[in-house]
Amino acid sequence: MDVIVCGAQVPFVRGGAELHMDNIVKAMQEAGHRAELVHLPTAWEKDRLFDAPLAWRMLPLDADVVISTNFPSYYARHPRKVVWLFHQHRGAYDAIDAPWSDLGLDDDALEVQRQLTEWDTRALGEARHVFTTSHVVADRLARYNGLEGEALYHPPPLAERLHTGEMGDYVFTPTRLETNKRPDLIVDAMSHVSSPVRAVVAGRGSMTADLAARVERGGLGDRVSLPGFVPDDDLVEQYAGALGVIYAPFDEDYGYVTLQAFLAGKPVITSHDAGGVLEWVEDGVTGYVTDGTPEGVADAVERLAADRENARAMGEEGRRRASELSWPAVVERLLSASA
Amino acid sequence: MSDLRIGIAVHAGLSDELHDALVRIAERCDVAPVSDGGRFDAVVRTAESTPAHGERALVWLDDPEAPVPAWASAVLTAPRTADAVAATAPVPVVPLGPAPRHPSARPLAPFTRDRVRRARGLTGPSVAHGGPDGWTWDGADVPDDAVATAAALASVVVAHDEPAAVLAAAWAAPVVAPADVRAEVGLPDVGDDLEAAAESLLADAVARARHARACRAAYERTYDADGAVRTLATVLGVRPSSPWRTGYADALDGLGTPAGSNVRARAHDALRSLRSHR
Repeated sequence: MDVIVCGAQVPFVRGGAELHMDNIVKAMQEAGHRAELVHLPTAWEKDRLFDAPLAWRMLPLDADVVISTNFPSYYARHPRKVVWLFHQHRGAYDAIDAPWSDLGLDDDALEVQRQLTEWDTRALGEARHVFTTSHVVADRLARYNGLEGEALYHPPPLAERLHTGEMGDYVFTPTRLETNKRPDLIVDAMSHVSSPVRAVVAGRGSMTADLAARVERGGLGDRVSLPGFVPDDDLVEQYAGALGVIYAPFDEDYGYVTLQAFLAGKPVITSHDAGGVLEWVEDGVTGYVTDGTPEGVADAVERLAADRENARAMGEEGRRRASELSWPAVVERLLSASA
Repeated sequence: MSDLRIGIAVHAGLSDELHDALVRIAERCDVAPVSDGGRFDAVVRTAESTPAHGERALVWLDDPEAPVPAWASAVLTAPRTADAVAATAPVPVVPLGPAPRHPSARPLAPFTRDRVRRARGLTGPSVAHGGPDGWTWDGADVPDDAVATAAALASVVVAHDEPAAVLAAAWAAPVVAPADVRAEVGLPDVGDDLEAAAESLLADAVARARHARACRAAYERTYDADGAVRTLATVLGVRPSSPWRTGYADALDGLGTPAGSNVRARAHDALRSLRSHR
């Protein structure tokens, strides 16, 4: 079959969503289909919010099946459209009161939010089937648009390269250094950890300088390292040699780090409000779900350090669960839903 | 106005519902009796008739139990029977019937309602009751000129008659109504204890959102003739004859975009330089 995968493009940004789109195309091709990615730039400000959805609406997508992913690519029209929803425009829904959302309580903004809700409901309602990347995304879809979504999990990037290793002397976190990922929580937690466990927080972002300042203020220079961007080869080895992984973002849609940690056989420490991460981290079974305070995270680190055999067992259970994910199963599900 | 050209091949003694459906089509499409000749995108027939060779035919069904003839490209039926027909029909089903009501109503989903109420300083449960004795909001009388506002902003509407139910559903309110009103409007079942149903919806944001969407869908199924004709055009594979004139407008109409919406102006502006000016 000819399959077009549709996604939004944010110029000069490449993150999890972009990787996911590429992986869908690759999985389709490996299953014997012709597949290509079509992506269009989008704008998030309320005055331009509807431009890209309209552009998608006008596109001629001549293929057997169209798989739409994030906002506003699901505005594409096709008789065999299947949506695998990464996320909607969160600034109009669950994150509408966040500082970065420009949809306030003035009449113009209220009408924009109303219209976007109506547009989203209609465009998503056209699909043969709506899948979501997690139950968190499905719940938002139900809550804001009254629509059903079916969670369809997929393997994370590097799935085939991640491997187990020793339960080392550090906890590892690869993440964008942005507010919603809460890397500051990890640095702050380490000041409460008395056992000789280090933390490695890898990644880039707007909080880089702030984190470095926290490390210095806390005298944590020998306990916390901030290596910046880590290439994939090093990333795989960092996972393999860790005692565990701390991943406690706020209300994450899915959480690749969780699954990558599991595939490396490592337990995950997270927070009660981490969203999709909680669909995988089961307290005491595949990791620890903390109260999200630095003290709570520190306590979880201490528990891993105090009982490495249990840490290994939790990591093994995580690996068993994550190993059940497969791209061929995802492809089969997406295409059967388009029929 | 749609580009569809629809032929009519039904005999005298039409049911009232078929008559209404044909009026809706005639208001929006180019319609003529097949006896006039010419090219038609489709011909409306009843089940006992026989299409001409090569003709694309739409069958009107009054009875949801009646079989769909093999020659039918789609079924036209009254909104009250659409769900029952669609359950077994092997071809698309397009409900058509009553004249539009509350065409200026815009759907406000529960989350949007919450925000508008917050912006207006409206606190409290915000439950509206509507019926033959008028409307109330959390027990206080609503003036006649604010009834539409109540329907648009209430967290739940308890509708005691059909007009209140239709108005509320037009605004995509989560509507609870007695069984006879529900049947008349096509609203989802909430049981007979309306107060309990309202309380249950108030307590569950997901259920409220789903219910609101179902209520609006029931309203559109009955009163959105423009949408029904657009669906018919899609089913028949008929594209606009001059898409460069109407292309983006059709796309915007299909999403329910209000006439004065900013995106219409932006789209028009984006194409301005491509138009010749005399």
